[in-house]
Amino acid sequence: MIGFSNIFKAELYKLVKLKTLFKILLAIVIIFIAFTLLYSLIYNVIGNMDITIMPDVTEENVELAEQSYEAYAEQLDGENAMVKAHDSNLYSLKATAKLYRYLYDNNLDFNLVTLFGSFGKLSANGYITYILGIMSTVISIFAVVTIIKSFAGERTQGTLKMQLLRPVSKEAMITAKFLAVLVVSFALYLFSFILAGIVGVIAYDVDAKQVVAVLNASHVVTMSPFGALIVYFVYYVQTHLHILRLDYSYL
Amino acid sequence: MENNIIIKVENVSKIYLSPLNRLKRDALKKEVKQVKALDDVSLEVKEGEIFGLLGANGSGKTTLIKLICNLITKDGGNITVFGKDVEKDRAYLQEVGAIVEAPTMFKNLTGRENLRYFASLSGGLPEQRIDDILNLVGLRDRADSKFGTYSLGMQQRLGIAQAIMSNPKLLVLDEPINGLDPDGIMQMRELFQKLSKTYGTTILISSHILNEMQELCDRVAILVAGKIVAIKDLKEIVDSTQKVIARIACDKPQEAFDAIEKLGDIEVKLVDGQVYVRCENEKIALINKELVKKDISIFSITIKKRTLEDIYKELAK
Repeated sequence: MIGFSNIFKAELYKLVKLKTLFKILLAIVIIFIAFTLLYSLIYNVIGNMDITIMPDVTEENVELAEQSYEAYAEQLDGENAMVKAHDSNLYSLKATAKLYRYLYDNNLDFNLVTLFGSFGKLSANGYITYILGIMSTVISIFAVVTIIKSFAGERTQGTLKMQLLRPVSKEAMITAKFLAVLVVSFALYLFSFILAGIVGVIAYDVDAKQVVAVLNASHVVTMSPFGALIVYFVYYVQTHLHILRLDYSYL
Repeated sequence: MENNIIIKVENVSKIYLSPLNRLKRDALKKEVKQVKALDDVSLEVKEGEIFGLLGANGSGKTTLIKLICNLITKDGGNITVFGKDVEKDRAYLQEVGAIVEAPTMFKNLTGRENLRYFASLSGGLPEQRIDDILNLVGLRDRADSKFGTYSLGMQQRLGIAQAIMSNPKLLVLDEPINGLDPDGIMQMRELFQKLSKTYGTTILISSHILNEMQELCDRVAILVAGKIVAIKDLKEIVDSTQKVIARIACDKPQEAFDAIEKLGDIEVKLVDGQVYVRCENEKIALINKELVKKDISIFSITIKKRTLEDIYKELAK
């Protein structure tokens, strides 16, 4: 692609120079403050409530979980492997069964840790995941709007014409504009993550319990809360890419 | 300087058509409203010359320039720049500096930052060069104000700056002096002449300001309604064997008119007590002698050299 490195650098320069980045950082800080207060409020209330969504880990319940899975799997017996692989009910029943078996066998008590953080307890981990969830929406919106602006806005402004008068191929131009926004939004994610980490650790206790995770409804692993956070971070970046329709599984 | 051909336009046509109308025309074979902006246009621009595109508004100058810069696609013909087809590869634009229509740049960047941005798209330029260029186009004082605050003339100057800053082999300028004050027009004329003479830059410039074109260009092409009606070498225009127009102020205009008519082979008109003749330069002396013979007092004989304006008027009827 002719001229790719030139236009890529230029698009990055434009994003930073135009002070949108500083505006966004300011917006992030404001959102941070707002949602930190919200978080403290909500979880102070919820933490005092006794909310149980998942049944306790008892022998009965473990067997129940495994039976439900097997019963459902029988229903799908005639279908081909493709159908079975995409059935979400089958997937979650299997995951729950595996999880319960593991927890019972290893005699573990658990906090329900969904991808949405340590549920019901005020903690640094919970706070970080909470903030990252909010930030991912904000940053995704920023990314989409900026990409659209870098094409359509330039057409209106007329600067697209000026860029076309340079030795840059159209493929290079499209890729560079896209990539520049991607790089900047990833940097923003990182920034939010680190800022949330700092604020979280200062303001709240760190929930040091091990995290149990079920991978692919087959393997159960334990990891440190920090490891879980990294996984979580990667998950959100990936969701962001999906929003931008960079469906890498098809590349 | 070799006489390389820098731009070659062969039988180029361009029709402006809305997408819906295009579909109707091609698929349904219906008659649709379309604007034939260029009709079988051919020209060549040689290395080192200043070539002018003359024409009224809407005659196709900007369209032709856009086609040469590969901003739009054509409906027929061939265009090559530096010997390469313009539609094949954008790489030739490395050696081209252009202003097309109005210079539009980022309103919230300063003049300097805009130049930096556009310079980086072509590979970057040293800061000193950007400084020099800003000085050259007279924007040194306003270099660090936002582009959105510039007047039309300043925007035009920045547009010219961005076109010349990489010292291109070819300059394509669409109405560059549009909006400039007389001082600015003169400055730019000197700048273009210097670029052409000193650096051998080839310049394609379009305008409808005839006397500027006359001062600046080596050759001009005249466009009327999308067709080229003439390509003239301006050095040939002021030629003594060509016809000139003279206005004769005298005390007996009617007698003078009759006398000149009798001479034959001279176009003569009597308008508002002034006698106008159109003939070869040598015949003026003859007319003078004839009138003196008839005892007519001549107050003045004013000779108007045949200018580009005259040629344009003749051709662009």
